[in-house]
Amino acid sequence: MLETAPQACYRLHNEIPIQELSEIIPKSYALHMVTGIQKNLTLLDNFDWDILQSGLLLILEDKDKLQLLDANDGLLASCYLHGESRFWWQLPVGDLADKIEELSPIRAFVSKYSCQLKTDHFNILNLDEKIVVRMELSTVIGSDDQKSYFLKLFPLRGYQKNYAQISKCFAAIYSEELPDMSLLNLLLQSGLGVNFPERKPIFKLAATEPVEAAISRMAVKLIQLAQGQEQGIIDDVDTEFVHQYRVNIRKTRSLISLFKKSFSSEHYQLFKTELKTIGSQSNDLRDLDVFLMDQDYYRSMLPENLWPGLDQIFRRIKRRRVVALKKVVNFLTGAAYQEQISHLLLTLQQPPEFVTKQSGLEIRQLAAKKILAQYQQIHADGVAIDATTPDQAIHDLRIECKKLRYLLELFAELFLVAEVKQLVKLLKVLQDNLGHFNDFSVQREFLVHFGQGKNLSADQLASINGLAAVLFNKQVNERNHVAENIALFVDKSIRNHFNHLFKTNPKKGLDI
Amino acid sequence: MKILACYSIKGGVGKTASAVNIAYWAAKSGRKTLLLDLDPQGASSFYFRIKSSPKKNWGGRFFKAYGQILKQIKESDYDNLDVIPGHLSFRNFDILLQQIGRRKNRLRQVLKGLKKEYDLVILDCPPSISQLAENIFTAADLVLVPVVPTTLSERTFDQLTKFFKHEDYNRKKLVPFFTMVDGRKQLHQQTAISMRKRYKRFLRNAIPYSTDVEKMGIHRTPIDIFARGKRANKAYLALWMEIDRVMKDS
Repeated sequence: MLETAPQACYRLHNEIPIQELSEIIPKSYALHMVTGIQKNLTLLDNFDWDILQSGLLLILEDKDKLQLLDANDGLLASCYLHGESRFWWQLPVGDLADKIEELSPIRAFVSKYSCQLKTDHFNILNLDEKIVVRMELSTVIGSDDQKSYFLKLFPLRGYQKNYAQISKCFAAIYSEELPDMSLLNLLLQSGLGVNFPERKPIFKLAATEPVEAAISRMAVKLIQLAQGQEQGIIDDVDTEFVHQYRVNIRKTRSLISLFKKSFSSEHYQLFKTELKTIGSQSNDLRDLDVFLMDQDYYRSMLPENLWPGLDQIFRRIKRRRVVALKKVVNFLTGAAYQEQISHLLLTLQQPPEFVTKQSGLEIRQLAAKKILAQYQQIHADGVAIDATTPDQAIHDLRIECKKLRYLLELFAELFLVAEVKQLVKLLKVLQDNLGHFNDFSVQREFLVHFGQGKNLSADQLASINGLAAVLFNKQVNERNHVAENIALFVDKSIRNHFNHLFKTNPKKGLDI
Repeated sequence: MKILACYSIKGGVGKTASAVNIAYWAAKSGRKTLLLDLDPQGASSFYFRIKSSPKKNWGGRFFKAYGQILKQIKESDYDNLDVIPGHLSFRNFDILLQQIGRRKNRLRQVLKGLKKEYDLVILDCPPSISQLAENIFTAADLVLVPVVPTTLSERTFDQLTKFFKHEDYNRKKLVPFFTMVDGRKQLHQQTAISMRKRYKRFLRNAIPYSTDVEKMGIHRTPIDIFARGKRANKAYLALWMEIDRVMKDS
């Protein structure tokens, strides 16, 4: 419907002085510079690039103006910063904070790329001194002083002929025609590197790959993913780094343990011991993080008169966290850990030993068998649980469910991914229930333990007791749903689904 | 989309200057605006430095389809403001309208398609009371009538209101305002007072007599571009704001 031609965007070979630009256009036109602006820009995002992955840009302009832009540079929200602003809750209350909360609810946003952007606007006039084409010349100066030059021509409706005539003249001076000159494109063209981390690792497993080789490869990848989180923990960017580090180490442990018969006992013992030591170093830090993250939730569970005591507790926990973090940072930066992790990786990267019967089996067959066996284990343990079963059995079932979850997620690529996802979704309902039951129990124990410490005020004790009582009630409530959720998960239709998806060739008679 | 017509039976009353400056302020206040220069002299197009189509008889296709109009739209130098320049062939509009059956809603129908793109269409009309004028009265939501506070202008406005009454047009569409007002002249003062008494829909804001309005022909831009702080410019801004309120109420 519109009679305008699309805008033309070019990357230029080098800087072109204004005088030279005037000489490029035909003599019947005049070039007039209108305005020139210069700003310092920093692209912010979290570790996972969640903001950019949603098609948006979080831009800090001149150190204090924070803006959220869409892919076409449309301004969605903005605010001025005062003081530290790494999380959405540190931003001034408003639209921008709300939008960032949706995009990055836990993670901190950090600088990904900084540059200086200079933009000069020009009008190109005809003999009547009417604007017939608009022009924008941008220079991006990266932090390494590398300069990139861009030119954009904007046609005016009804002046297509003039536009065609003028744009033809610029053909000789550009090195590349760009699809657009959005800010993101300018930054990408000027050196911004974007590497979206894998949300879920893909191992590119072959169905017939020998088990020992496959599990070793998977373990290496998981450990490397954990290593990728180390710097974030050391810099204390956000709590997700510790969490993801632990998840990857835990998955490695679980994988090695589930397939222990694939390794020589010497190797298995080494992996088991080392991973346990590595994983346990951050236990305290994670417990404190979880407690601090749920501050508002805890507050909402207590009457207002107990809040002062709670605030004091949180202050104490924050101080403890400083100590716990230091311990983890010292561990991660210490020579012993570096040695430990290199040794682990080296051992895992050695050619398979094939000293056990299981080590040479096909991974798909064995993984299917393991998944089925794990499901059957949950079934057997689950149906035995009733209102009188001791809590320990519930905790044990939670661990078994977690193992099944890891098996399903880690080996999904060998099966029908969509169907595996569906089973994970069903498992998640039970896991959430068991997880909440466990969380309330752990948090209550944490508080009770905390309450036994020295120098606690009456206010603090009152808050601890109040919170412990509420958590106990919540734990009981979760406990009441466990049996029904187990029943749902071991229902005949789901059982059939598991059997159908993971059935193995009985002739192979695997010993698991 | 609203349609505003800048219309007067009488020439030389500041129709074009008003259409140009009102269109400019409407666009500047964020309305996607189209100024349609229906005058074959093309004066408002001249003020925007926009030339009319080189095609000799494009006016002959004006009422045929909305697509014909789209092809003639020119972007002005100002954000949100496009112009369809006047054309000599527009002088034949009355004949054309007669040929296609004397229907009074022909212009409205042609402009209807523009609502996808524009919030406001401003018609700069030629000074005559004709078949085209009747199409304008039907198409416009408001007919803005510049009136110089003199006896002759008063008489032509009286004629226009009588015509509206006689032809059964909605007289509420008529929104007069004073232009070229010279406060030192007693005649201007008296005429303005008497007309405001008789016609309650007169806009409160008036455009003073000013050489800045005349200088638009030299600068070929709206007044705001070359005489930002001057009275005439402020008067046009105030007039636009008042028209905007009237549009919302209408």
